[in-house]
Amino acid sequence: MGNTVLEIRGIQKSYDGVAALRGANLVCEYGRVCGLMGENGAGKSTMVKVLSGAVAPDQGEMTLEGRPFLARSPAEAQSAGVVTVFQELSLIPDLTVADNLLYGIEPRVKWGRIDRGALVGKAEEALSRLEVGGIDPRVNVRELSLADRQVIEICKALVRRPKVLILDEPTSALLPQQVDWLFKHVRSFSAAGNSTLFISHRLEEVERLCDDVTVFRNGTDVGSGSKQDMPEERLIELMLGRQVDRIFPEAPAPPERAEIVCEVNNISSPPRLADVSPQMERGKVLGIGGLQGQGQRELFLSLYGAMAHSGQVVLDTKALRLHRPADALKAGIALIPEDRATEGLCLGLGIRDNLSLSSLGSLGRLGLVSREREQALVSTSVERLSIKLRDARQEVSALSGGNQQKVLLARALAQRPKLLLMFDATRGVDVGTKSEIYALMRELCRQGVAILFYSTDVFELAEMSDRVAVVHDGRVRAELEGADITEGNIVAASVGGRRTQAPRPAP
Amino acid sequence: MSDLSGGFRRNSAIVLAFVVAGVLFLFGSIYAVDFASVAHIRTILITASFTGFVGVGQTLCMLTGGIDLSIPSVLAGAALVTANLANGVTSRLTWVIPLVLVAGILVGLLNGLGVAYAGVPPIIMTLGMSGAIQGLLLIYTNGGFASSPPESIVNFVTGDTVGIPNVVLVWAVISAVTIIGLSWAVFGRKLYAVGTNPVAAFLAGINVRRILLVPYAVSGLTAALAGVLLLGFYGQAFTDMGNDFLFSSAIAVAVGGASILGGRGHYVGTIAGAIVLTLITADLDVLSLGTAAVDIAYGIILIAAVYFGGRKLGRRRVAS
Repeated sequence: MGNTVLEIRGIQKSYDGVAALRGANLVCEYGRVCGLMGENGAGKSTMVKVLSGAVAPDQGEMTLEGRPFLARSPAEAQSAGVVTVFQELSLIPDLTVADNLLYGIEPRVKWGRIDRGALVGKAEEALSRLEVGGIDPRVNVRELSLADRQVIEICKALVRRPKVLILDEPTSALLPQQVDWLFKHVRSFSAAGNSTLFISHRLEEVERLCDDVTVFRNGTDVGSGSKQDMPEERLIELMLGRQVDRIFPEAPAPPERAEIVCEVNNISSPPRLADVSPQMERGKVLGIGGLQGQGQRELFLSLYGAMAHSGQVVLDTKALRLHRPADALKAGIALIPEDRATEGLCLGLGIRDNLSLSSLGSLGRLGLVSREREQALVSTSVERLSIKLRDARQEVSALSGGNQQKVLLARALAQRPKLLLMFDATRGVDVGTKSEIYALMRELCRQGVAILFYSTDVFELAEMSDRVAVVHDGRVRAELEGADITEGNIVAASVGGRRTQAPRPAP
Repeated sequence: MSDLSGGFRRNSAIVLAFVVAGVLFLFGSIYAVDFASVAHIRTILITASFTGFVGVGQTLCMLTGGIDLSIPSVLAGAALVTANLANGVTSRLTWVIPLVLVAGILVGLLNGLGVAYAGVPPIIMTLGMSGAIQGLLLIYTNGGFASSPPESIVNFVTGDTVGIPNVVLVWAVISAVTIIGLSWAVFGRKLYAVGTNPVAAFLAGINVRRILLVPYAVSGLTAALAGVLLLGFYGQAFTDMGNDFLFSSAIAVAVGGASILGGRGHYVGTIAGAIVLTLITADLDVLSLGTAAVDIAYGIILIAAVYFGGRKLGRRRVAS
């Protein structure tokens, strides 16, 4: 164990009497990348918060390079050499890339003023050392895409030259080539004698990047070892505490005849979306692929009435006017939005309040919320989606990420939608919940619901979709069907290649 | 009580505010013989009720992360217009009072339109409105003073029904309506959702702008009502009669545990806040400290209440 840089023994942490960590152990060694896996609610995020000084542990010991280590704030952790890239982005949107990158470590500060030239120069140098092209250090972070912000976030951590770099689900916002970039630099960072703790849900990434893996379940480490000793099946088994055969359920038999539920004609929302005409069939999943930020978000928000658009949306032969989400919900279109914390849930409110938020109209009696009806809605939802909760009046933020996502799904399903728009609904969700969501999608299809399914996880997109439309620059670049729906084809169509859009059958 | 939704449940700040009220009351009772007398308790409740009236609107505004700074002007305006139009004639009140209350709602709606539809920050919108009304009142009253309201309004405000002051009864009714509205009504659910996360509320199908109108309209109504009743209480109206109520309504809401960022708090807390403020004034009076001390105390309490509220918020953020 002479190689140990960071050692954690028996860490316990409870929130309001609920144990998040119950005696967790973790070891990071010099020169290695240590993977930390586990379902949501397993205690990974709490571990990250303890290590980064965001929360104090109730009990346990931590040593950094043999000396006791306990950060009381993120700043203390940083100066001790433990730097964390959190899941939530921490950049300041209205400062420039250079400002953010070198925040607090500005090269020259005179009389409290920062030397802009030196700052930009140093930022440029840092970015080129890290081989980040195409990002001007002078632009405001606000103007960057989510993916680029994540890249800058990672650079910001690396320029602080940590001994231990903690990456909490860093790839969920990154494009495939950026993931390659990240892995390359994490490897060379670790090879230089440092240590990386890499938290991820994605088996494939842990497989590719990590030297050692530790699995958390229920607030403790349930297994750890070098990658060779931890094959994929073993990892899944450890994470779930049971064996699973497959996470993608069998596709149901196709319906007798195709029936179009929702026909969209030339929906546009300048400048990001131009003339897209998807056709949603009853009981089928239409996948939407493509690189991030190609207009997929605009397509979903337009169909949901949350964004100004032109074009025609016909649902069950009825032309819709979608001025606001309430119009869409009334017509039978529901949305699972991209970011459950900022767009989906009211985190300060109770589970019950969040769950019934879209159904208040039908739950009301003389303007008051009917308790029986609401209770019925809550019980049905909890049972149908197996949401794990202690009390429906608990704040929704007390739930694990997967269960929060289920609350959102339950809210949408309570509307009995004919068309369900799922925008990256499995992002940041643990494997167990993912497989439950897939099963739910199949179930909904059997009931005749049409699903429009965007995902940044191409594998999942390929597995779950009956058809895939790949969007590029606001237009459909390719449509894939049947055996053509493969990860390779989707990626190829996403990044370029010839225009292979099949002509749409005339209505 | 455990079924109250939104901001009330788990809000230990509200419980704390009632405890503080109890301590302040005990303190006064120890120092002054008459403090706990029925007459004095009546006075305390009557005084608190005026802050309680305007506190309804202010609570709703602050639950959406806004604030209503036009309360003093609307209050004074309502009193002045009532006194002038009624001109001492009781029978006129049957149309003057409804007219004034509707005018209060309209002013509030205007505030709400500015905030919800034009996107003007609440501080600016309501401050601008307040200034404009103050100017109009000076022109309208030609000096900003009106006296001799109809006898009946004075009698009502200073009178009792079954031994309870009428003003306190009105406060009880309004409190009940507000608490039901916030805790059990569909409207309350939507208001908390909008206050907590307007984007999520919008995507959940709530008409966020329409919901945002309501707090300001209600605030116009409750400020106008407070003005009419205060006219009876003072027996006169003047342009700066509402000035104390901006400060006191905001502090009452903050002391009651609401977050100025919206989404957290309840009118139950504001009731406690209004009583706490009145008791502080009474206690300082017992100690023979004047209005200067009251203002100092109010200022410190406002900052302290928001500071401790904010600290709790900060901890929550890290812990979540």
